[in-house]
Amino acid sequence: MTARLELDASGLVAEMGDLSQRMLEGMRRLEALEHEDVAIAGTPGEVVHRSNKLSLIHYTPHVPAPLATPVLLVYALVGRYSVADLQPGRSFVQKLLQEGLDVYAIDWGHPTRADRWNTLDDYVNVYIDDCVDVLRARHGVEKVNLLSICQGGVFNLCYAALHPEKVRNLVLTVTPVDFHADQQDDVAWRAFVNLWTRSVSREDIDLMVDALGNVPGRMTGAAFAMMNPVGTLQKYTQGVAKSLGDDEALRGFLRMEKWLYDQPDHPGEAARQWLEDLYQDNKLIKGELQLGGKTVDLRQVSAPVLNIYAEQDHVVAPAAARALGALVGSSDYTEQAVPGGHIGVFVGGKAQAILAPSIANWLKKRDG
Amino acid sequence: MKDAESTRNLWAKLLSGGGPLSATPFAALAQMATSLMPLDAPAEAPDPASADPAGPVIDWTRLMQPSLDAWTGWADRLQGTALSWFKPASDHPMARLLDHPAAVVGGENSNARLSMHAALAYTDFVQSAMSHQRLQMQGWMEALRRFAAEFAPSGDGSAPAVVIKSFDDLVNHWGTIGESALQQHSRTDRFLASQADLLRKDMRYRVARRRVIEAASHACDIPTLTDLDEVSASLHALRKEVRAVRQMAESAAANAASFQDKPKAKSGAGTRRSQGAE
Repeated sequence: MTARLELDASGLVAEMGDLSQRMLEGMRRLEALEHEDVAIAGTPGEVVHRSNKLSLIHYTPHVPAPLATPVLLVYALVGRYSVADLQPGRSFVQKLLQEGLDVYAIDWGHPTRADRWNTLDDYVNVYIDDCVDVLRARHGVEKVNLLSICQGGVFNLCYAALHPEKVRNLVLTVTPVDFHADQQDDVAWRAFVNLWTRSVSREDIDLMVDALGNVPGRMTGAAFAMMNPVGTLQKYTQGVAKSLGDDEALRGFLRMEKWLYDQPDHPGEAARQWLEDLYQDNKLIKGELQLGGKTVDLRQVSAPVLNIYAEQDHVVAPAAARALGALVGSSDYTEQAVPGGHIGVFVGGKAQAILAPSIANWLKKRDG
Repeated sequence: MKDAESTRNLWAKLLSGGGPLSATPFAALAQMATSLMPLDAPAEAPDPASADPAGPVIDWTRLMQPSLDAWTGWADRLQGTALSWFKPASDHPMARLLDHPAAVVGGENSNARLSMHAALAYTDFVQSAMSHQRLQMQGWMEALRRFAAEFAPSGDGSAPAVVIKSFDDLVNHWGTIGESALQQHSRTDRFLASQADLLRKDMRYRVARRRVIEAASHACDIPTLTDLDEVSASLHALRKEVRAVRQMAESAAANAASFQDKPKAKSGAGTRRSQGAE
């Protein structure tokens, strides 16, 4: 026996009373809610470049003289960049701006059926390369700082290996490098995507991509939700009940849900490569990944690298991120652990106090 | 009456054991019909006074039974039991029909053939989904069992690790135990294989269904998703070519500009001397 019940009737009654009170207050709060109250990605900026569905956003600097080398933030194709700018006071982007950085972000938009032929080569050597050239032209610099999240980190890593002449510094956050490293620690709550892709055959993935075209955002969203089935259910029962009792908690909950259900489809050919070449075959660390006819050699990454991983990451095992240290060619390589989960490092209070200042300080020491 | 008798005799021949119609449901219907035909017509009209006011009694059970037996027998002869229609595609009567050498008639892409393939694929998908759902339920049952076991007496007198003082605590504890149990369950080989099978069967059904719809679209001269995919693939390839050509042109222009910027060599012997010096 590892648990003992010490419930008493009066305590339960008080709890139910408190819950009822919260529900009533919550109903009143919901009635008074306006659309602006749950707006996300509200940090002021302007779109300076468009390509197909992509928009390149330049955020209005918060300081008169930001860091000379601009920062290009590249998010994944799974989910949207807006998680980095979820709400005032919990915006990773805002904190970077407050630290004196000049920040641009790529919004990949919502791919349609016509984008199903986009490959990883297109994202790295066309879209990101074009955005880098826009930054170089606007700021009159030869090189830019690349900042990345998850799959965006893999894109930027490949870019830094293929175009080292355009990268001043490379910052990776929660980025998988060794897609089989999860096997080193068999933790049940972590790296299910790795396990799943190894359990299906190449033919299964080909069939899925050929049948669907793009991998639907709702499908990847459901897959992520099912990694924590009980937690997902509790979020909509216990979690909602708790947040109804507080204005900010309720708005925060709704903003997170807004981001969570804004699920773009993942272009098919890119998904095929992502799942087969990386998750199944682990080609990146083997030096076998080919983009645009060229092999991605991590030893060609000569820019300083800051590799940040989340200690409680259930999607990317820390070992999967830390594997970069032994492979990258740069002589200036730094690792940093941050408390929190895969998304929590960008929206959680504790991590927010660490992440942006760490990145900003590291970049400032290496500017110019 | 002679006509009725001769008709009945004819049916009897057709329906008798070995007769051409004896093994079909028609036989049962015919038997029903002939049993309703008067065998011996009364020589005189019946006396209305002596007739049963309720009308003649018809034994419907006796009449329907041959029909029911015939239908059941027909299905049985087809595949043993009616449930064979829900067998997997690998063992389905329709699949055997499609695989039969005589099935070349009509062509692979006929609407009927494509529809049968889609129906088989759907059967497979439903079976896989039901099987996976059963497996999911086992996971939840195990989670509930573990949660209940948390409160069973340990027998060794050790203090409990968790003390539940509120409903909130109880729900949190369920979250911890249940989540762990379900995550472990979802990592088993059986679960992963079932999930992979479900994905495979779902995608095959999707592809088969699309083929049916696209065949109908083509028949009506309506462009299909496949047609649009081909167009977008061509556009994608063309964009890449244009980009490559543009980059070559920019590179050539840059080379030409740098060549023009180089200091020009002197003419005649001086030129050769300066070239030699280089």
